[in-house]
Amino acid sequence: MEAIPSQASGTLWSFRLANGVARFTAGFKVIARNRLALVGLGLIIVGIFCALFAPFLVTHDPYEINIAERLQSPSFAHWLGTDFMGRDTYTRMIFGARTAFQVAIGAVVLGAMFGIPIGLLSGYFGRWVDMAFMRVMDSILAFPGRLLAIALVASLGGGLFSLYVAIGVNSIPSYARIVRGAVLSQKEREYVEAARMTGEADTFIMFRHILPNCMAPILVRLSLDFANAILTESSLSFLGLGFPPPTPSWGLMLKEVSPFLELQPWAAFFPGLTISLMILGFNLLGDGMRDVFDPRQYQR
Amino acid sequence: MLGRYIIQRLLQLIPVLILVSLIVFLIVHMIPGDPVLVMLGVDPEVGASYSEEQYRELQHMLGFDRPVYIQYIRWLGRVLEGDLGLSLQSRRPVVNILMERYPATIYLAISAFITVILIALPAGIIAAVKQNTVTDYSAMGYAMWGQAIPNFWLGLMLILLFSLKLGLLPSIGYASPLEYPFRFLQHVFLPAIVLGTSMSASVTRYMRAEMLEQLSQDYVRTARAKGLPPRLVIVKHAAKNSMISIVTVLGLDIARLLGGSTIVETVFTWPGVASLLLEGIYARDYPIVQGAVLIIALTYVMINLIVDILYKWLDPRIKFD
Repeated sequence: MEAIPSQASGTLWSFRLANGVARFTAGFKVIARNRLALVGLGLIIVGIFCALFAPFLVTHDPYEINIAERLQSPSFAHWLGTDFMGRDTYTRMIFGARTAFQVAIGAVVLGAMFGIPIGLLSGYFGRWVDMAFMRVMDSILAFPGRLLAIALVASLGGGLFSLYVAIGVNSIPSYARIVRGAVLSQKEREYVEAARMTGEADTFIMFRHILPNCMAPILVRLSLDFANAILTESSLSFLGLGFPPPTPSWGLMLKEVSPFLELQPWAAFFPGLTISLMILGFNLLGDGMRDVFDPRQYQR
Repeated sequence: MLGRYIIQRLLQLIPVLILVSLIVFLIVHMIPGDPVLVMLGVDPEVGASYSEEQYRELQHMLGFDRPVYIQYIRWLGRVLEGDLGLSLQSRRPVVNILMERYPATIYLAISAFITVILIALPAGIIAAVKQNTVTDYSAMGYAMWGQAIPNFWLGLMLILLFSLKLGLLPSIGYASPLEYPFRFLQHVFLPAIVLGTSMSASVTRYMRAEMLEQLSQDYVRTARAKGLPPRLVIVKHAAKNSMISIVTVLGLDIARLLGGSTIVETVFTWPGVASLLLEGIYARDYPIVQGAVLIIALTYVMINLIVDILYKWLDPRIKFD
């Protein structure tokens, strides 16, 4: 007797998996048609690959100081030259990908982890819940761009956790607003009504029924948010408010070589280019996904 | 109608302003450990290098010898009277220091906004008119890269090219536009370009999309069919109608320039409020940090409010919920 329900649930899960794979493949096919999004995805994959396999891709120790070889131009020994302490720029840039992704993942997760439930609760319950949450979101939005991140890092101090909070807090309102908007458009639909009629709990309806139907704008936001997190981390490190030296962070690398700009421009050129390419990758993918999730795209 | 709308918007602003003030107030209270020791510049590993008297004086000045909610109420009361305390470094009133630095930030933001209009609008129009040509691809390339390039890197590269290599423009410094307009223009050129790049990139994209939309409309076809010169059709008809939605985008983005100014002011040593904020952070001068964050946030909120009211005034059909 016990075998039947487990078999049934197994079938259900395999159906769900197949459905998920089919949707993913359909989405990827549309992205693949958008060449720019594909370029973006390629850039991101290269970035993730560098972050994961950094120790196997580098030619030197990222912390090895060699004053005799300081501020060198690109050569066979140092592919992208060296910085003001003779450290290999290429090696530090590859390890910099680790730093960037580490911060970006933490900050994006934190933003989404708070923003999505706030948006769900606001949209679903409305009234004073909505008003209270939205006023708090408005007050976060009352601080322009990076100002709040700078203020938070200034008081919390540097380090990984502070960066998560400083960058993550900034993105909470955008998730909350997107999800709230999506919930408002979904909650009057028949499937939600049907779920309510069957007596399902509000939490279950919110997370199991409504949230999956709001995933499209959330995924677009996630991609754009990664770009923003990488930019904010490098900006904070450039200002000396992020990671302390000698951490291989792209922003910190730029800060350290900026006094030697005229002497060795390459040392500033490559880290900046890498940040731009990474941000470009996430922006292109975000734009591409927006096209995918636009229903008109499916009809074409 | 407009008066009622303004009152409604101002009322909505009250809770937001209270929360903003709370966040600014909490900047000092979120410092890990004893904020008074941090502000005295005490290194926990080295140990004490301050007198008990100095500690008590600073603790009393900051009001830290009282419960937090009383501290907040007293702090808010003083802020409403225009008293933001004394700078721990210079011992001068924070308000006076902010007032000295505020104009430079505003001049920079206005200059950046002008560069956005001068670059983005023509670029967007030309890209749309010459759709799918090299010109269009170049403009779109600019729009993509402009949003991806970190402004501190762009600043360094422009300093390298225009100041260090070509010697055409100064890399640092400031001159008041009211006293030395020509020198101001020389100094503001690079910072304004850098600050405006990201915004001009996104506005170029919007402008192109909007122009393409307008150029496909029937009224443009009619205008062309009746033999109007192409330039007139583009500028007087399509571009003019595109501007309605572009003004919205510009309005939403103008306040964001303030956020980017923290980094641009640092790169170009521009003596504005944003660079003052960083100087305050480096020196652990928290009254300065609080003051600078507060004034930037208030400016941001006020610009957004004015832009909203202007829209309502320009187009009474607009509804804000």
